[in-house]
Amino acid sequence: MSSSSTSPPSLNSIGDVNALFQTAKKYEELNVIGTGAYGTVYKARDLHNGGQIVAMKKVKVALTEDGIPLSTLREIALLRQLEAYRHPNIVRLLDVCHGGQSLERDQQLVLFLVFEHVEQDLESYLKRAPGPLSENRIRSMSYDILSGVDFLHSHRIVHRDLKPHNLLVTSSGRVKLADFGLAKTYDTEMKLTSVVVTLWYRPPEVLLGVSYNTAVDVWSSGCVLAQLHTRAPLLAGSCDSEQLHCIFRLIGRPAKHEWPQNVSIVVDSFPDYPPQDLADILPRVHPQALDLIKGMLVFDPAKRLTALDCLEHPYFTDHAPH
Amino acid sequence: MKDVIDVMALQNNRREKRLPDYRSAPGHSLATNFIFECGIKLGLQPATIATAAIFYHKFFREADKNDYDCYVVCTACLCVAGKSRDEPVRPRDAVNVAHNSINRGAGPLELGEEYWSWRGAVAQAELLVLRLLGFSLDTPSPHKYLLHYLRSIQEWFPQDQWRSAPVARTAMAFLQDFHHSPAILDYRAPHLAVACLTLALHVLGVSVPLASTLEDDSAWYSS
Ligand SMILES: Nc1ncnc2c1ncn2[C@@H]1O[C@H](COP(=O)(O)OP(=O)(O)OP(=O)(O)O)[C@@H](O)[C@H]1O
Repeated sequence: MSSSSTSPPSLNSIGDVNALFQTAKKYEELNVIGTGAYGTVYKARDLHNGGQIVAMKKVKVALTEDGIPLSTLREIALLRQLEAYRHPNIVRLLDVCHGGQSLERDQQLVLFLVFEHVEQDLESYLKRAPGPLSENRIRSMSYDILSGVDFLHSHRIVHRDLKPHNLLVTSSGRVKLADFGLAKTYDTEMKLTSVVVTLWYRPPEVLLGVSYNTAVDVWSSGCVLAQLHTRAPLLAGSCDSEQLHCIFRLIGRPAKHEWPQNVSIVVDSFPDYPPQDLADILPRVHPQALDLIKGMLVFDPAKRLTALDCLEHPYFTDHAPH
Repeated sequence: MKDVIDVMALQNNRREKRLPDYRSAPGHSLATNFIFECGIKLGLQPATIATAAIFYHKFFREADKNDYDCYVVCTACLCVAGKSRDEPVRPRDAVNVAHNSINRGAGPLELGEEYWSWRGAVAQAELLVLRLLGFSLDTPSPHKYLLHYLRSIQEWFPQDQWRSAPVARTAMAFLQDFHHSPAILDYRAPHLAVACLTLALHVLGVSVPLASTLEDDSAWYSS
């Protein structure tokens, strides 16, 4: 056995992986469905599955010295793992692929997340609704949303960005959560700065820049649940501070002792808004729904209901079937 | 029983003296040996190394063995397994260990052309592995099951009897060894664990105390 080093193993086969990505082309892009802050969603055809229509999200990931970042790899692997549960209120993730290392910019990888295609999002569903939604429809959609949120939380995933835009509504009126689980991937990545991120569903702790947890999703869901009743956003602020004003005008300015520490904004910079009665804003709302939403829109995240509390609320449990 | 253990020790010794020569091995014949050798040298946990072997088998269930360099893909599988199990390997270490295992006694690679071409190939292969696996990196863990089974069965043994027979070590070795075969993909984790445990008990000629009190011999640890 000689100890001299030989030339590296035939690398040309590996070097030319782009050829493989070409031949492995499985999806035909049709048109853009929408552009989010972190990626574009296309309608596409799955060429290997009888031309089934899918939704394909394209996300750019920066490659590091060590290749694909560990956090990205683990986030995507977790999404794949969650898929095994086939939760009815989570959009199906059918496939994950990537376009290989791009030749021009070799520090970047384009990932394709392939989802089942769902007719529309809640935003357009509410816009198209000819009139107020029926009480039963509101209840079942509320339950769907909270079930999805509870499922994510039980797998230690915080959605962080729940809003009608990424709640999808199937043709039979079921709601499914989309666009979650990639927080760390997004953090490290190429944000499209031109896209305005909506603040309307952000809880106070996020607007104030303090640490947050699963309770953020309960706040956002509360805003969405209210919107199901009125078909208009509950708290439509135009910037961070404006959003906080909107929130405090509704729930009242929190007491000094409730104000989190280490926040640059002081509580006194807001007028001493008295709390408003949510019933005035949500006319004809079911009293139990009102009580539920109030429990979700609580300033202190620790005092907010959890998603599981919500599911066990009489608004749902008194009204089978679920 | 004593004989068996001696034979095993002997084999171990012999293995150390005669490390495999990956360069002269035909095709993929030593691929999993390579994964295990490099994984151990990189200090990875046995379950992580086993995961890398599973990725390797899955990869070549889809891809043609003639199309890709065996050892580059093996190295990439170790990198992906490391990341997926939160035990990341530095690419530099992975490349050096791989290179040294292939070129025995060659010393560390200079940061020259050969190093960078190796490193680039491994980086590309890592993406390729992820692509073929579709990022499904959750592998069932027979190791965990085996540990559970071992722990529960251990309680049945008088302490000195348990210590005198290397049941745990033997069963784990069988489990690790089975990862050399692509057939590992065809069985469920708990079944693999029970099979390895049963085989270890048989080979060591150990019978489980109190087992004879069972009505038939369909105890859960016998297959
Ligand atoms: N599976 C799907 N089927 C149909 N439409 C979808 C699907 N997933 C997302 N969409 C739509 O694509 C659009 C963009 O979605 P995307 O998740 O990229 O962005 P977003 O939620 O607006 O933004 P962000 O990335 O900032 O959260 C949205 O209108 C959404 O409703």
